Amino acid sequence: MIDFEETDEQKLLRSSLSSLLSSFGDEYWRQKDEKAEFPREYFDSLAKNGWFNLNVPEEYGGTGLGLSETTIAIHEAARTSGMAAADLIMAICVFAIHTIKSFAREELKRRYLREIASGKHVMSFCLTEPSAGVNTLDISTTAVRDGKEFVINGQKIWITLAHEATIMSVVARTTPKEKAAKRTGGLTIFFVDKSKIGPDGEIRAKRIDDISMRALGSNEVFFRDVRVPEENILGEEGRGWDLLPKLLNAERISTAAMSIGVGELSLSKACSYAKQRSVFGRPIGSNQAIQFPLARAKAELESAWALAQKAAWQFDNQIDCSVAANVAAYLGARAAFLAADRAMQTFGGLSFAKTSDIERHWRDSRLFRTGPVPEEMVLSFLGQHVLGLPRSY
Amino acid sequence: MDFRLEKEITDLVGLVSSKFDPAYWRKISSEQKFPEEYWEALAESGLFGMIIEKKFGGMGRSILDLTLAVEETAEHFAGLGSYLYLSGSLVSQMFEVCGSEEQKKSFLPEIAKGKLKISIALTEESSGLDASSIETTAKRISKEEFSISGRKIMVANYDRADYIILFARTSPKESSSSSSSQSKTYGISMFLISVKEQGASFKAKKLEKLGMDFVSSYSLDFEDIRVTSDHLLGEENEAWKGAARVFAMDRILTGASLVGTGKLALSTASEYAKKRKVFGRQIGSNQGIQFPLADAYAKIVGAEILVHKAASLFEAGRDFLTEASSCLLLAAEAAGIATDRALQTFGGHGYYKENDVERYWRDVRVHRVHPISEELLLATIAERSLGMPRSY
Repeated sequence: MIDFEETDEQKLLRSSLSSLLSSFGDEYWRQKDEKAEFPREYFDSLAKNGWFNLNVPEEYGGTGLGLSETTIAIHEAARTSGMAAADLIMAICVFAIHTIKSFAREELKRRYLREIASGKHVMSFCLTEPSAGVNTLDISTTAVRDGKEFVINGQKIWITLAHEATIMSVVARTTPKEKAAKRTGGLTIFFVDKSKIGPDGEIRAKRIDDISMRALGSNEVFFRDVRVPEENILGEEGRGWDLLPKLLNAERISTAAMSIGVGELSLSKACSYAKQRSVFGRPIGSNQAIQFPLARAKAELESAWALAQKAAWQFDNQIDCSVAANVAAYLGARAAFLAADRAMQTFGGLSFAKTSDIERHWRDSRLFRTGPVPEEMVLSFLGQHVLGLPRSY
Repeated sequence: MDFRLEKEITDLVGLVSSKFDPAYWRKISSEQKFPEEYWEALAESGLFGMIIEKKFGGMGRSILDLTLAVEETAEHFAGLGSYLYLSGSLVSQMFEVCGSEEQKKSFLPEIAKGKLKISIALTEESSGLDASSIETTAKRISKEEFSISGRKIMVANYDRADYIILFARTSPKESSSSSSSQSKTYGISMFLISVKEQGASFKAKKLEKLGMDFVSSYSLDFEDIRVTSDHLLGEENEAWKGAARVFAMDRILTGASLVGTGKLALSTASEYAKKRKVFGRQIGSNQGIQFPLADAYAKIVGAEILVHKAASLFEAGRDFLTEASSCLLLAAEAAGIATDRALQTFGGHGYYKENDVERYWRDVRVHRVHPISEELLLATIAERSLGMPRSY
């Protein structure tokens, strides 16, 4: 029987996170955005209050919850505090904890899950390269075996938080594309601890001055002779491709939750303003030209959130979630940008002032229409795998 | 949270429905005929009784099951022909919600068997979305008898109806608005009128329309129709509350019908896009063709999940009006986009009746204005869920 109602435990999660978030107001996030500065105080507070324990399995000392609850935390953070606050939860709970608990060797799990949960680490997922975005198979970062170690060389781009990261997961080629047994073979994902990369190893992160989620920030990353032991392979050597769907579906669901949350935040600010701001002797919200587009955005956000809930539930129950996850991310990002754009319009000239915070939500909510997966790739996925149409590129 | 769907009901509906292929519906539509065979097949399978209680001969299933069934029959291949299944099933709720025990006993088993066709006569020339302003009046002329006069429009399938549920004012709007404790809809009553007995008193005129050619639509003029008070369905003066609940359920089911029709249009278009070659390659491999179809599919999926959510809220006995409004808004828009892109995919062929997509395109347009307009849905969402002031 279908039931969209959150459990009491899930509702409790929301309300306790919400009270933590309330100590970091708009001004805090505005300043972090302006200075492009890591929200250390917020990060520490999440760690101190056990939020990074959320999806750590119980046998490793965690709370043992699933992606549904993680998604709820991300959604709550986004709709209360905006995109950066939410993305940081994804960076830790999804890219660090989910990755390690699902794919790492036992020893790595024992060692790192507790450390991550306690707030010792920031993790980056290093996939995209200057010449390989959605065409993952074209990456040219290499990892060459040297005894029981691998040596990584190459360059990545658009790596969130790489400048703050202490640990990383790095997708590299262990077999050249042309020599791989199958088309999708030869990719390996490595867990990298930046403090243990050998005497000659170097990882250099160069911050990109960008427009979205500036508090976290994106980077170019250069790997030179980075040594990692073979035990650090996530999944199996040469089978990195097979892990990606599990990771990327979790990411889609998380970004959907973020988009939707930020959309709701924009919408609630716009609605408060529309009710209170009076022009020509009446609240501007009583004009259908203002009110109806906001209502449309609301309906679209509701629909995307219902799908995100379903996708997370499918994910946790080992049911294929790719359609729901992709559509939730696609519709969520569009609805969020619509909401933010209508908020800009509702606030009128005021929205162009940074102190209104609306322009920040507008910049942030544009992101997930382009990355981590561009809309066009979602449409291709639906076209090919649902409608059965031929590949179009 | 739980998102498991039971398949048995959709499988049964799919089995029955799939016997009537697009060619059947094309013929029915071009001849503007009632799809007798489709109705009979559904009736024989007991499907009209899906949400009728077991003690009245129904299947006692949930509204969620009915939404899934409506979507399934629309997708294979009834399209908006699913309206007949939808309204044929939903009318039972007028009795479940408003009817007396006596009325339930005599009507529900017959509705469950598909033996009764009941049409609703609500809309008038000057009262569409603002139902409180209907002018048809039922005057009590004795302790037991009413005299009803007025004019109704857009009465669906009047020519097939065994009964009509006629909305009339038993108390004028003025008297109700003068008292602040009473709502504008106080004074509205529903009468159950046998067409067999009273049909002669109705001057019926068939209305021509854009689509949904398998449903006829009539205007009805009537004067001094005499009915006894046992023909009241629901309380005198207080019928609107119950009826509004059924109309709100209708939003969910109409959403389901549109979702199914949208999927039907998209699968029809996708099949064609794979087959049809232009400039030496399948047209579906062009992003200009493929991406808009995929985008329409995403929108359909987005509407579908809200249909399920609204139905599950209804089932849980919770407020569902906002979700019912949102699902209808998104479903009508998505089905409009899906059928339009389907027509575009067929190119010039899409304009010809033999390819069915022009019919889907015409049919779905009605649900951006009926049973309630997009604008009122937006206003409902704005007021109920965003706390915005009334804008009209």
